[in-house]
Order: sequence, then C-alpha cells, then structure tokens
Amino acid sequence: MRKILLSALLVCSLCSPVMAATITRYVNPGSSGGDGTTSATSGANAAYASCNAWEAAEQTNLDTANNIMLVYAAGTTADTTACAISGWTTSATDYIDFRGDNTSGKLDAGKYRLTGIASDAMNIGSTNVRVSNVAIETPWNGYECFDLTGWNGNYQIHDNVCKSGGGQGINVGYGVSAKIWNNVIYECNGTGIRNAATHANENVVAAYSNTLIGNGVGMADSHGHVTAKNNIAYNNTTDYSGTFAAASTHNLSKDTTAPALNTYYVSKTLTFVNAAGDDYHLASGDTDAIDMGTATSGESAPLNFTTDIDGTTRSGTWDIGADEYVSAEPTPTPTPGRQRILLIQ
Amino acid sequence: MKKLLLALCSVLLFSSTGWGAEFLVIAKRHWSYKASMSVEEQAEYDKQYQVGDIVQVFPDGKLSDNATAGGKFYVVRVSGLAYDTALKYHEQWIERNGEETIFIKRRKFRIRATELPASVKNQLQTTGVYNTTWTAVKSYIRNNVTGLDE
Repeated sequence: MRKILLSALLVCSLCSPVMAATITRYVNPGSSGGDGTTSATSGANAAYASCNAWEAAEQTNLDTANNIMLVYAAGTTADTTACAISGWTTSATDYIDFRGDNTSGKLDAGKYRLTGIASDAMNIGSTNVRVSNVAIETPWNGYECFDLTGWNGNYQIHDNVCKSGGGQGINVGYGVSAKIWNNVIYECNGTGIRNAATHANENVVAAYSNTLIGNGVGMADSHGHVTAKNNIAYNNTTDYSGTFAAASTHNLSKDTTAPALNTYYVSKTLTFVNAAGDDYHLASGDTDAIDMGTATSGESAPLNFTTDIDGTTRSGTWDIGADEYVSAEPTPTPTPGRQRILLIQ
Repeated sequence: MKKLLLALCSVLLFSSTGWGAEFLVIAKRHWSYKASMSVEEQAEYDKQYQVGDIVQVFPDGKLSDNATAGGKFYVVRVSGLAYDTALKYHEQWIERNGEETIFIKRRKFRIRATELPASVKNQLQTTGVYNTTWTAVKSYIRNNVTGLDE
C-alpha cells in the first residue's frame, strides 16, 4: 500500500505542471545603470538606464528556464531610445511582462515614457509579450508606437498612451494573436489600431475599450480578424475602415463608419475633459459614451478586465472607450475647530 | 597676473577633459550561440546582438561603472566626440518594406572588440570599463552596413 501511494505521488509530481518562476527587473532612465535587480538609481544593483539596456542585457530562453520576465519601468526622465524586443524564446506560460507606471491616461511627464524616438518605439518581434501603462510619443513619420511583428506572436497591449506623428499607434503584423484594451491613441498619421494581415484567418485580434482620436484611420481591419468592442474612434479622418468580426459590438464613431454589427453608435458628439490638452477622459456632460458600453468582464482572461486606463473599477453600465467616467471627489470641507495661530515677531 | 593666468588655464584644462559620450557595449555572446549551427540557426544568430555592438549612446557622465551589469556590458567613455554626433552609433540596422519594418541586424555599428590592443582588451575583461578618445577608438568602430571602419 505504501509503495502504491509513493508511486502515485511520484506520478502526480511528474505530471503536474511546474509553475514558472518570476524574474523581476527594473528600468529607470534616471538611473546611472546597474544589473537591474532593484529600483535604486545608483549602485551595483541599480535599475537599467533604459528599456533598451534591459532588453539587451537580459535576453534569454525563458521557455527552457521556465521563467516569466517581469519588468517595472518608472522614473521622471524620458527614455529616448527605441526598445525592440527580439531574440528571446518564450511560451504562453513563460513570457515577458513590461509594466510602466503611467496610470493617468495621458502623456505624463512625471512618469516613465518613451519619447522622441526615430524608429518604432517598441518593435516586438519575440512572441508572448505584454506591455502596459507605458506612454509613448513618436514624432517621426512612418514609425509605430507598437509594432507587433512576431510570427505566431501572442501579445497583450493595454492601458498605454500613444501619440504618434508617425505611422500606426499599434500595428498588428502577420500571424499574430493580440489582445488590445484600454489604450488611448491619438494623432497618428497612419492608423490607431491596424490589423495588417493580408490573408484570411491569419490574425486573431481583440480590441476592446480603446480611445482613438485624430488619427488618419481610427481602427482598420482587413479580413474580419478584429473583434472590436466598446471602442471610441473619433475625429479621425476615417473612424473605422474595413470588415470587422461578427461579434463586434458597442463601437462608436463621430462619422458614420462604426461597424454596423450588433449595437453600434454613429454620428456621435463626445465631450472630453480637455481635448486641446490631449486629455481624453470623458467629461461629466458627455451623454454619448458614458453608460453606453457593454461589460466584457465575463469573457475569458485577460479580456475579463474590470478597470479602465486609470485603474478605476468599471461599474454599472460600462462607458465606451478607455476611460470610465467617475465624478470628481468632493473637496473635503474643513472641520471647524480650534485654530493654531503662529505669531512671528 | 601670473596667478590669474594659471587659474584660468587650470579652469580651461579641467573643463575640456569631460567625456563626450558614453557607449554601452555588448560584452557577451547571445544566449543562442552554439559551436556548431545549421545555416538557418547561423542566420538567426547573426541577427542578434554581437559582442561589440553599441547598444546605446549616453551623454557624458550618465553611466556609472556599475552599468556593466555584472559583465553583460562594457562601458566605453569617449572624449572628443559630441553626444549628438555619437547618437548614430546606436542606430538599428532596419529596412522598410512599405509600412513593414524589417530587422537586418540589431545595430549598424560595432566596436571590433576582439581586435582591440591587448592592453585594452585586458582592461575591458578585468573591469568592463575603458576611457579613451575618439581619435584612438574610431578606427575600431565598424559600420556593419558598409563594412568600413569610421
């Protein structure tokens, strides 16, 4: 009996999947450089001085090592060199998770950001990569904030801000599966979110709750690969272009191009907090996006997200776009009481 | 008057000895290296960072010696080379096919690390850091696109 139990235990230990170990690294452009193992900005264990330095230093075969590479990027200094992610081997369970600290839904000069880069800011050729809470500004024509290029790539791009004078905000290459949610993308000469696939059944893309403003095209699909839900495409030269997956729903446009699938909204006028200042949070007076979306929290992970680009929990009937409107916190009323008066002679 | 001139000279001397640019350079082979590779494996390996590739150019005084990250990088400080001029040395070798970006190699420029003078190689292997001048180092910087040194 004892032998049987031992054998059973041995078999179970062999057949049960081994959890991937997480390697944590830090990036801070204000750092003087180190081995990236802490968030310090000086010393041997200081954060890497750029995303680019982290990527070059840490490239490895995550799949064989059974590791997740978790990267925290922070700091007030701009990261001004392109960060290509290429030359790694990953798997669905052994992936790269790059997290910035921008949770404002705007280009925040006080947070980690990639700016002024004369090529794709993040060209991701390795598969199984996640990027969140990064702000990117690429002023150069023809290049992307995110270029997802790995064949059989499996990407999660969410809660990012992208302002690009260049090509696309997020370009989905060939043979890619991508889940793209809660991003604000504006002023790209090309397309905010573009599915570049050229063949049927080539890509699988879910684009949920994004806000796409003032681009050449807001969102473009070619072969019905993109399931689009709860997106705002507004004030683009063309808000939506192409054929979208049949499950697409609750998309909104200022022009008449929102995909005519399920529930959709066309010819709408939205009110933002400060569009001239690139703040595309929904304003209190808005009536066309607030409470007009559909909850997607019942979908399978990671599309079961329940927060917006600011990290605010979405509640009630969801709003359309990256932002869930919440009324401003009331200013606390000072409690009357004894006051201390400092007399200076 | 003599003292004043001396003071002025020393100020000029110290202000002109600042490093111009700092190169963060690959110090180790890519993890996918194998002594024997198929044609396909070799082609894939050649696209990756190679020892000597200039990963990033930083302005004078940015990097500490710790930026070597435990032997992953060399830090090469170059005087007499303006930072803005040096930025081209960390450009990626990419080509555009319409709207598609194609990576040829990770970098256009590489320091020919294995061909540096023995004393320099020794110092890089020992400390990972080397301070030099643009005049001394430029003939060791290879343009991968043209195959020519600077």
